[in-house]
Amino acid sequence: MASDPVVEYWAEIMKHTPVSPDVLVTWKRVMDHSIEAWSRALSEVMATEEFAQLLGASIEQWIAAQAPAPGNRGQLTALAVQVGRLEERLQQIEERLEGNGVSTAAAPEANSASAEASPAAAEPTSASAEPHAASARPPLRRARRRRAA
Amino acid sequence: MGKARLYRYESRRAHDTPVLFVPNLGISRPYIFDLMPGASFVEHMTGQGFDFYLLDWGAFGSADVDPSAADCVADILPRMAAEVLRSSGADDLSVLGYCMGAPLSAAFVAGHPEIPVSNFVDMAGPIDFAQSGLFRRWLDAKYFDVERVVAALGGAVPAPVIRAGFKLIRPTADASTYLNLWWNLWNDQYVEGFTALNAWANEYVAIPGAFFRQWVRDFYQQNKLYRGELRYGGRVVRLSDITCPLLAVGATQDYIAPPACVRALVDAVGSVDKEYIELPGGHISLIAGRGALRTCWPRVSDWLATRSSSRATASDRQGRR
Repeated sequence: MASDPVVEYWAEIMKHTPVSPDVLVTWKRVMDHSIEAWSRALSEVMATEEFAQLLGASIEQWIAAQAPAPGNRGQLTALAVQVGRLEERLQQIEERLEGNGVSTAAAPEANSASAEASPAAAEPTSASAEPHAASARPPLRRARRRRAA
Repeated sequence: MGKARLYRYESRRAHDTPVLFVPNLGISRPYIFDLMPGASFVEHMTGQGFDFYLLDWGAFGSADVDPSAADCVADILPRMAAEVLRSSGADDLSVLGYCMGAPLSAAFVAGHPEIPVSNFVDMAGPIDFAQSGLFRRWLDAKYFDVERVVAALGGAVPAPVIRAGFKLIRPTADASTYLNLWWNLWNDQYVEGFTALNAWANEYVAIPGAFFRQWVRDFYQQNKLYRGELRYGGRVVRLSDITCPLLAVGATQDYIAPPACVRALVDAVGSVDKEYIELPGGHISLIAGRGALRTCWPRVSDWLATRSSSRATASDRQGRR
């Protein structure tokens, strides 16, 4: 006799579910195992090449749907991609120059020194100038609210 | 430096070496590390006598493009480390990275040997991205053109997209969460913890476009950090240049940073004193909840305590490298 896959599925779950006299406890265990089984099954599907391909295609469609005027948007996107790649190319050239001993970036010492002077870097100092008692709960959220205000 | 801020939490200072904590950039807010009394990593660490510095990368909006990953590694982290040393007056510091903060910190520690980092801890931070599970598969360059995505978005990857990605990686998580809430409705302590954690878990933060581009391309698609091919700020990053004591902590059921991709750091570094521990639970359970207080945080603070007890032991630490 051909077995019903749904019955098989529940039988598998019940097999791994310890029996308890408390119906609710048993129900909870069945639910936990069921959710876990679904999670495993979905993870297996989502780990396939096909799913990744489908997801990639969905993202492409979503990008296309973002465009109010497809032609213009498409051109802009292509341009931005080119700019992004240009930036990357520039970075590679800069790295090659540095590799040849031509420094185009600030030395790390200079970075540290400028950290002292820059207003942004001064922010942490002011944050650290609000010491909290060792026993007190550090008020991260309060601190953030103060700063926002 | 942009939106990055450094928060200092002072302790009774049983240990002279302060801790610089580097969390993920974007995705979520850092108040999870100080969620509520009795369930706060910050509270635990300061209670153990560590001056604790929390780096908040900032709350990014949809128009944010910067910082890039290179900015984080070559500019922001060195400045923050210098600020930790300056404001604490310490000779050295420990760096503790969580989630994507761990590979960023690893790149920073490896690429900046002039900064006196005494200890490095990787908590649930992916290192070998070839083993980083579903995200690695989904972000494969064959199917995911990161340049096109970032260009189309025009600025940051917005919070709803980040949310969709994380919901997709574990689609049954909400069902499980709410079933457990229903089951524990009578338990005030559980409900209090759930309310705080759930509010955080649903507050997603955008990822700046330049960061996302480098993060996906350099880490997920090309695995440059692990392969020793990352070059930020004109410096080549080789994990083997990390020679300080290292602790890597993985979580058995971590879908975001599976244990294998975290553990890979132990074999990649040049440290002599190195250890990997794997704890039960998922990605978040290492840093939130009362379970973390029992299983994870004491392991981390004890490990650090024996390696940063006082300035008198600095020479001992050098000997262990």
